[in-house]
Amino acid sequence: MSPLPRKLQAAIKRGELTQAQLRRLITLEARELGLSYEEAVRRARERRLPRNVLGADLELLVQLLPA
Amino acid sequence: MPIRGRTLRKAAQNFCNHANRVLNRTVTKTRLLVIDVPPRVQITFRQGGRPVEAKLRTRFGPIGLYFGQVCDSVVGEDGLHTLRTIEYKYTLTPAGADEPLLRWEYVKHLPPGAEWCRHHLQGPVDLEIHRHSVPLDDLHLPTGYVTFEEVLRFCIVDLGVRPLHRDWSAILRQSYEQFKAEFVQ
Repeated sequence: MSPLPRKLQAAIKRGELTQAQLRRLITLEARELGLSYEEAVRRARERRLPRNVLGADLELLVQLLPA
Repeated sequence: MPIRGRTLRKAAQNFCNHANRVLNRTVTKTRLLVIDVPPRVQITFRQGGRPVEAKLRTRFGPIGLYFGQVCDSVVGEDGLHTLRTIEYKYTLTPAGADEPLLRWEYVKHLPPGAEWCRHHLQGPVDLEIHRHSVPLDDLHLPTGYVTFEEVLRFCIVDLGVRPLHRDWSAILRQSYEQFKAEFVQ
């Protein structure tokens, strides 16, 4: 897995993400699964992501998006 | 061990700190992190910002433990936030496997049209039912609320993970009892 941008890493380390940073993190993790942001969000809500660490993380991250 | 705080973030950090103390004295030094995106938080193992599993050495070989929760909070009359679990996932994945062998999950809000058990266990394990071979992944085996302490106990007792502290059983029991008394409402 490729490293995250430093600013995003720092925000995660601080434990606070803006909605824009959350969408960026979802986009980067989705890309590693070969998915677009929109496809990842849709599949997360349908619980149809791959059953690996990235899929599990994406499913939980999508729960942080506004309904 | 309050699972409450003046803010959602502080309540979540209280839980995260407590879970890390339990994890670090039982099965792993890998640490959980809180990500706060109000009005919810996510708690997972992360390194360099990336989600990771804790690597466990079991009697059957290396297995990865994934821990993930999403919580929100309810605010009491005293203004304090009490954590509420929206979703949890605890998974155990043998090294090199494509997917977890066991997945304990809870989903507070079911997808539209779904009516399966919100607390369930799944995995790529075939169940023989008469002439049918049914993957456990196709079912939602009811479990009730599974605490992370029970998963850690399973790892030590059944999978043979060497505990990091001689008092591991008391540590898990005390944490579990605190959870039942203070977290579940």
